[in-house]
Amino acid sequence: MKNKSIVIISLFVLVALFFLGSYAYKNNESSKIQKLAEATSTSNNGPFVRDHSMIFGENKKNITVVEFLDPECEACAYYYPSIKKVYKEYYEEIRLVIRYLANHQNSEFAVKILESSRVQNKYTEVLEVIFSTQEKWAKHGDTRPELLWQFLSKIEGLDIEKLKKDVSTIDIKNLLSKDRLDAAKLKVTGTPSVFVNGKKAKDLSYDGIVNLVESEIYK
Amino acid sequence: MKKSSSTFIFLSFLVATVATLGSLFFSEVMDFIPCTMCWYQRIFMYPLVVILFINLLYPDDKVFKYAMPLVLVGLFFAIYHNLLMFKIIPESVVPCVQGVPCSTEYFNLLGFINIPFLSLVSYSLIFIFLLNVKKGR
Repeated sequence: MKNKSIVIISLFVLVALFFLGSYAYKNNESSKIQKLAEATSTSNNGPFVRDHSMIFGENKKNITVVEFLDPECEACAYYYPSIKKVYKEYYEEIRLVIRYLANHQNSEFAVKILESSRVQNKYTEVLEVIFSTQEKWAKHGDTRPELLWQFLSKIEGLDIEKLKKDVSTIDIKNLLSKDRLDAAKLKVTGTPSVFVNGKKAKDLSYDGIVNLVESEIYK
Repeated sequence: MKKSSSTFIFLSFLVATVATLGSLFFSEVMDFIPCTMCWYQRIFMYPLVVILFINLLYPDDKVFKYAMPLVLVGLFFAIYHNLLMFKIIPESVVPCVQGVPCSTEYFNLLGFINIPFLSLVSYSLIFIFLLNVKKGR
């Protein structure tokens, strides 16, 4: 009977240690990232923002929302409406920074299209098409990225021939590797991952991001 | 059942529990992605916690029979994985198709203590403890 209680107590102690350790580790990690965010809040030299990054918003309240995304990632496409809604409501207060984590077969190709669209000022429209048609061009086991041209040609005011030409010549190796290194630095392993002034969003919903943004506004 | 053998079962239980929680800490807390080899070693380690725990609460003399096969299979994978980490077997023969290559080293203490090494140590300890359970009977 005595032995049994030793067994149960030791199991309990080990499990408690596990949770305490997890809590301490996570806390330590997020405070490290938080410090990094404070130290780099005004610069564009990473790890949150780079000079090459696509940035939206007026940023009147100095709130940097960073999203790591992958154009071929299903969760990112699913998540897009939420982040769009956040941006629509807070574009005066925040700046929204797009970073890439190209983890899929055709991610690089899609990023090339996105980056090439910037000279024509059609980034948002292109991103929207890429996400809304994702299930057609990025079907599992049967990806057909060439379909994107057909979908993109419907965007008003987009010179598709110029875009094709730009895509064939653009070099994004450097950009992607910088984004990847920054992601590793911030312990981002999957997409979408969102940071609000260095705080990683645990709840990836519209409400989750809004709460973080609001808490920065009324800090 | 003799007292000494229940001590060895208890020690095995402790090692299995630490190994289980430790591997969960690496993957769930530190976000290390487990490779295929790691999964096989986990599969045979986790049930040991339950089997040994139940046996400690309701002792019978047959636990060796239930636990040892799991240990042997896990030990086999652990040895294989370590041969791989120390480059005795080339990476090309590893059954890792996608994701993390099994020769990825997430951390390294003193030049040889990495995660597969910890796994090998755990399996070896449990193996030795269980042999003692058998002998002590």
